[in-house]
Amino acid sequence: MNLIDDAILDAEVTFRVRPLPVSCMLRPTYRIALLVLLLDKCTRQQATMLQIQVLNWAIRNPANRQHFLQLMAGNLRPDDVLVRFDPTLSRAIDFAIGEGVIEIPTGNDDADDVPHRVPMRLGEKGKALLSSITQMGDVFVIEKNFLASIGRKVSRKAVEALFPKE
Amino acid sequence: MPLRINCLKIDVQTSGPVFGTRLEFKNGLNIICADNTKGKSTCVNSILYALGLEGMLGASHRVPLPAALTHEILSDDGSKFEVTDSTIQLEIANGNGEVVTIRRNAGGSQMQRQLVHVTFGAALSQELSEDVETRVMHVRIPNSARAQLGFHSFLAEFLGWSLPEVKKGGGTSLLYLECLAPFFFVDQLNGWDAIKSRMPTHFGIVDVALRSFEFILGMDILDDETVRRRLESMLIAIESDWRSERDEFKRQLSGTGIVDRGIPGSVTDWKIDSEVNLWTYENEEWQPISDTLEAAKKQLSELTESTIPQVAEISNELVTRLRVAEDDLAAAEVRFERDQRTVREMEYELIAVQKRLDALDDNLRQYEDEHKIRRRLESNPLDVSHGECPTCHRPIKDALIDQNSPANPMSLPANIAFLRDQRQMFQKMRAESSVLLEVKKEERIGLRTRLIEHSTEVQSLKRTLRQDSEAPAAAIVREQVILENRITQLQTSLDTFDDPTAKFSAISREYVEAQEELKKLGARTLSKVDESKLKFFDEVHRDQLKNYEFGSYNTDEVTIDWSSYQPVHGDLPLGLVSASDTVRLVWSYLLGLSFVSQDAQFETNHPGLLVIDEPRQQNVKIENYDEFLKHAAKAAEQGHQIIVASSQLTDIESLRKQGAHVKEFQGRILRPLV
Repeated sequence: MNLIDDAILDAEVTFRVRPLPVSCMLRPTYRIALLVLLLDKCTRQQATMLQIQVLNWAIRNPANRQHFLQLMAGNLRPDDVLVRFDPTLSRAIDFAIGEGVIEIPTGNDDADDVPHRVPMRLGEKGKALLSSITQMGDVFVIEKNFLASIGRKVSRKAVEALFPKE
Repeated sequence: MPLRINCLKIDVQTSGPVFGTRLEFKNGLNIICADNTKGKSTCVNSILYALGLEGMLGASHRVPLPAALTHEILSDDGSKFEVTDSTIQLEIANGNGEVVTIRRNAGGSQMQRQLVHVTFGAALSQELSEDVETRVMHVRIPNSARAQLGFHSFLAEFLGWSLPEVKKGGGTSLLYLECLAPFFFVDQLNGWDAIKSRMPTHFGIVDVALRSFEFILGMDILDDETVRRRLESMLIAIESDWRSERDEFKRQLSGTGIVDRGIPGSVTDWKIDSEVNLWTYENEEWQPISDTLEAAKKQLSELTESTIPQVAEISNELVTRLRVAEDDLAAAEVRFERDQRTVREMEYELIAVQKRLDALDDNLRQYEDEHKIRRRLESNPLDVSHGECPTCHRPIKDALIDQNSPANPMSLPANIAFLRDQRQMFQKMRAESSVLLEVKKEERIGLRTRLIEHSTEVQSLKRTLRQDSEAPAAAIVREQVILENRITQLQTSLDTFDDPTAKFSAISREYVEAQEELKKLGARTLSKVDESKLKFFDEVHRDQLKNYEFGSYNTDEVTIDWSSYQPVHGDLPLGLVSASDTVRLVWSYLLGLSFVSQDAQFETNHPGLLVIDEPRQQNVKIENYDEFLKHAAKAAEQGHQIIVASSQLTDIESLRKQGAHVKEFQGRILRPLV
């Protein structure tokens, strides 16, 4: 018995990729803006890849924010917390460098050949973006509050101290 | 109810002599005549300030008085003195002949300036005995219009005004006196703009110009508006009543093993034939509480009808019953455990849904932030914001994923819509899960009771079987006791939750009635009397424009619009009007209101007072100005008090002949007191 009409089987079937919903954390504009805020929180508005990765992990969600504050206060051992390094952050940084929001100074004496130690800093466009975001009272409210609650600036040493010495 | 100003007294304390003035006002047209910069505006604004009405000019708490009362005063010989404090006193009367004197300081702290001393007598024109009462009231702080010691609630009562409730932002508010002041008070600085732009908008009252106009002319349409406001706030109150009654009802029920069905979350979802049902969990299913009660009563009466047998008589039956009871107990235990697990699973599910909702909220918030930042950077956007690589300027996907991956991210609006959809779905899931959980928990309570009952039955049967064979069977007695307890419990529940259907349908009825009343009010319509007031106003307004030689439009075609109460040409608002014609419009409008309110056929709320600072603005032709003064004298003759401050009088004698009280000043009005 033929249950399925042959015509249906013969019809050409096409598959199309439907657009996917993505988290806002994957949107370049949002991430670059957030990056600028994080960079501003680092000592001298300069940061190594490691500093930015850690802050980027810290700001992601309430639990991480809580953990980070406790870490900084010395109330947790670093191995209590799993800092997740985020590959999409590198893409955001690449774009930010392309935009001139972030720059990596050339001929910097601090820069040795360990890539994650090369500090990045705000470019002209980044400084302008930072001042816009700071002026806007209704964006990044939670994020700004969190950063303010850290108190002092986050230094390279403080971040490196969070990891066990090799 | 008219407002009369009897007397204004200003005292200025300085580093040198005390400066001051005392102006008496009569019924009719009063004109203060002095050169420019000699203190006319000081006097006019002092009246406004004494009445605490400076909020009409704006939200600022700065004293709206010139430097002469606050900083530095000049005397006629040119010497300057530093001002230390100034006091303004104003004696006013109402239509009942009651007189009060108001005193307010222009110096001192903001708190001091917010105090008004009201003496219940004519303190300026008579010697008062010492026992005349003085009360301190406050102005320009929230609630002054309503509070007992608020000066404006006093002033409104003094004028016999019951101020209407009007729409404001999300709620309602009194129509403040400051919103009415532009109709009887014209200051020099802003007063000569069109009336609509002079209305204080900082109170956030919706359509403030319309409501104030309607109040001043005592229009019926405003009463409708007030009723509408009252009904609207009533609907909100009933809705919140409903919610708290429902919550309270559910709180009382929880833990009793009874659940309710049929109380919707909102009063609007209650239908005329809706009813509230109470259910209990019996014999592994939910049944109406009344059925449970009936069944228990029936069982009890069957038991009591027969005599209690001896153990020996029914020992076989008891053994069979013990087996059944043991089976029941085992089944109930399994069932209870299963339910326990289900409840726990459902609780986890609810937590998971909540977590997902939090994450969605967070993501939406981030998208909102992104949107705001994009808008802010509109003039100088990032390349990535319009899908372009900042380095090679080739198109890129709007996501930080591998650019070579076949996946395509949604556009921003589609993504936001997707998140909103999800959130809506999860909110529904949360609502449904919590209801199910609540029922399941009650079910568990019912099951636990059964479990205990089965277990004691087994024990009791065992005990009975061990009894002396001649003794009456204790298990049967026990059964009776259990049934009696159960009946009492169910009956108490029924009494406690006495007729919930009646209770909730009563609330719903209130709501429906208010709603119907609101519907009956229908669209805003002018009453016959309202229409004749507007027609009258339209005529006197147009006549005056003609007499004042209004030239920007053909005056025959200028009418008062019935929905905006503003002059229009044809159907359009008056567009570009010459500066001097704007002044003519203000004259006609304000005197027009005065004429309407003095016509015997109408009842209005016009205070019968008009205070105008320098009506001759923008070099209006002097003949037109004279014509205005003539009209003012006419309006005053019929009973209104009109106070005009002006430097530009041509023929004082003829004004006096028309009945005007003209007070001329050579030099400054405020001068050293001896």
